Amino acid sequence: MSTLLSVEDLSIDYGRRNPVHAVRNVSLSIEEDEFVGLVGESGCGKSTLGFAIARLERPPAQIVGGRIHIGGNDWMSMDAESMRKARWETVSVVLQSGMNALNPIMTIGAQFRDVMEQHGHRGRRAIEERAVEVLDLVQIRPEVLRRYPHELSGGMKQRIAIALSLVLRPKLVIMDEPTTALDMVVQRQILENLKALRHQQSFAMLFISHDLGLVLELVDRVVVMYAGEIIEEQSSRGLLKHAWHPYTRALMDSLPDPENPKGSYQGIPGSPPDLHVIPEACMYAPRCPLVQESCRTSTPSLETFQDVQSRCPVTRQEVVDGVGVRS
Amino acid sequence: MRYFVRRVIILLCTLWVAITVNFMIPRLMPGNPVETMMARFHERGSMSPSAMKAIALMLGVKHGNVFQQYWQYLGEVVHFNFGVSYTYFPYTVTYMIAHALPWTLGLVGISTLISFGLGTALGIVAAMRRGKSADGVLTTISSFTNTFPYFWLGLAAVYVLAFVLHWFPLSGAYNAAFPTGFHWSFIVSVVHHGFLPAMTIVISSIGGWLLGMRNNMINTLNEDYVLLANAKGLKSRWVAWMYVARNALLPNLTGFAMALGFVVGGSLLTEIVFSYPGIGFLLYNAVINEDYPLMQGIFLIIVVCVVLANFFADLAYVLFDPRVRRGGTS
Repeated sequence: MSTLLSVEDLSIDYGRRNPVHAVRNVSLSIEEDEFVGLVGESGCGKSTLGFAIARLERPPAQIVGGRIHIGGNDWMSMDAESMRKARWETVSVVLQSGMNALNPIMTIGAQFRDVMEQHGHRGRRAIEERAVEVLDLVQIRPEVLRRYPHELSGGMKQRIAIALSLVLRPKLVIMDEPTTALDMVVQRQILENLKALRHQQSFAMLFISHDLGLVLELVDRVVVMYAGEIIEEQSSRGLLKHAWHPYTRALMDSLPDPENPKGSYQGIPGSPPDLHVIPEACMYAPRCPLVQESCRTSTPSLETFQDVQSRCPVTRQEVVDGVGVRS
Repeated sequence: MRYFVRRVIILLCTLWVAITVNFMIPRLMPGNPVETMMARFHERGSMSPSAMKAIALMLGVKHGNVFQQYWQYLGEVVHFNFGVSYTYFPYTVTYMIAHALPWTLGLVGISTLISFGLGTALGIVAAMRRGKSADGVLTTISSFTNTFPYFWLGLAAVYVLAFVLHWFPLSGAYNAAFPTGFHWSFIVSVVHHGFLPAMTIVISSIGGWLLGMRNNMINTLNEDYVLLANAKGLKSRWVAWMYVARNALLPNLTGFAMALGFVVGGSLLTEIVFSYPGIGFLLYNAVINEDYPLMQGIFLIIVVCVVLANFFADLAYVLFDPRVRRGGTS
């Protein structure tokens, strides 16, 4: 497998005067056909990062440093017209609110047609066949092509948005909380759809969510963000066995345990830090149960050890010492 | 289809209410037209009872009780018979309105269309370049022209461009030296006379359309479907028109339809300032001469036009907004 997406040292600020440093020095790569999950609580910068990768950042958000390469293209220095042509063919997106992601005055069919025509596809017949094909992937009947968005349910619109994201066979699909606005039953159906999709069409996915449980079920690898930086990254399988960073552990502890459904879930005390001024310390230190004196005086770096990237030196030492490893 | 039928029923009900109110209001006022006219003749000498009766017959003063009068009135409205104008006797109200209406429709109608079209187009431009200099210039000028008191603008235009500089005529709708008809010199004279009033109408109303469209556009630009349209790599003109402008235009359509309805009411001020022989000028003359039949006829025409404009706006909405199309039936 070769690397499809590589993000290096990406930083994003909100505003120019007294900016919020929403994403700081993030490096991330995704292999072809790999599903990667990006998790973290609200405001940790995961959506900001996702939109920036698709180059859809909106003012006041702006990329202040770093590089993005997708499939060999420098995604930061392309001219507007090549950028336009590369969009959707290389990277497509699914937004959180699928209900608002479709133009209310155009039929579903017209919204498939315009993107295909403007990316060089010809022939009404061929375009409709392709639309029907991708709609079939998400189990939507072809009749919806003649419908307007207001005539469809929220779950249907979100599935149509997913079908739309696949229509040009993109290499990477960025999904920003695609199931969050839906009820549990529809959420489950869409998750099953997504799992089945990778057997039918080859594409890589960056799945952004605050729901670690959902993410673990779908993706190969999980990236955990906290306060604008990556604090842990490892395979889903590895994470299920052992979370390294105290924040990831806290996230795991907040999940319901299927073997003990009546057990109490652990919340994470405290709230995320202010991102105007970045301290010379571990960002999680104020909320961390394992905090040590050194955590408050120096910024820990993201280091790779045993195929796991983690920012916490304390838990890394545990592994070295051979304690605290669940087998 | 059900939508259409429902709209037609609402239209007919509204018209009936308007006509009835138009019937009732003059009857709530004290005095009667014969006495008014008599008072005028008394200034020149006394009148015999037979002359009074003759005037009453000539003006068509109604007999019978209120319900008989109402029934008769309804019948006459249907036949566009609004009686005789006191001021322009022996011309009928219908005749006077028919001769003033084309001027108003032409002047105010065309000005309103230009103002809406140009204002909306510039609003789109301003929104697509928001924050840049083109936006700054357009927005500032619009806010400025939007606050001009119209009578001041009109009088200033007449004084400077017509009275001092003699670039445009002071009053009227055409040069009486040319015979009326579709030939070159007459048309040039009509355009020459109409230019100044039209320009003042456009200047005073274009800012509202521009700012309204710009604000709607900027709200729509923040919609998720516009973000997605950009992500789809659609051409920016296509996004600006099909995704942003088409949606932003919807709230403005209602305002435009209302404006079209009020076209017939005429710009009263415009027609007075420029002595333009339209409905507004006619209404002004009817008011100062206490010409009740003429006023009543003009009011009725104005109300009917506003109601009709609303009706057509509802139908036009169906063309532009699919959400209304199956309203109530889906």
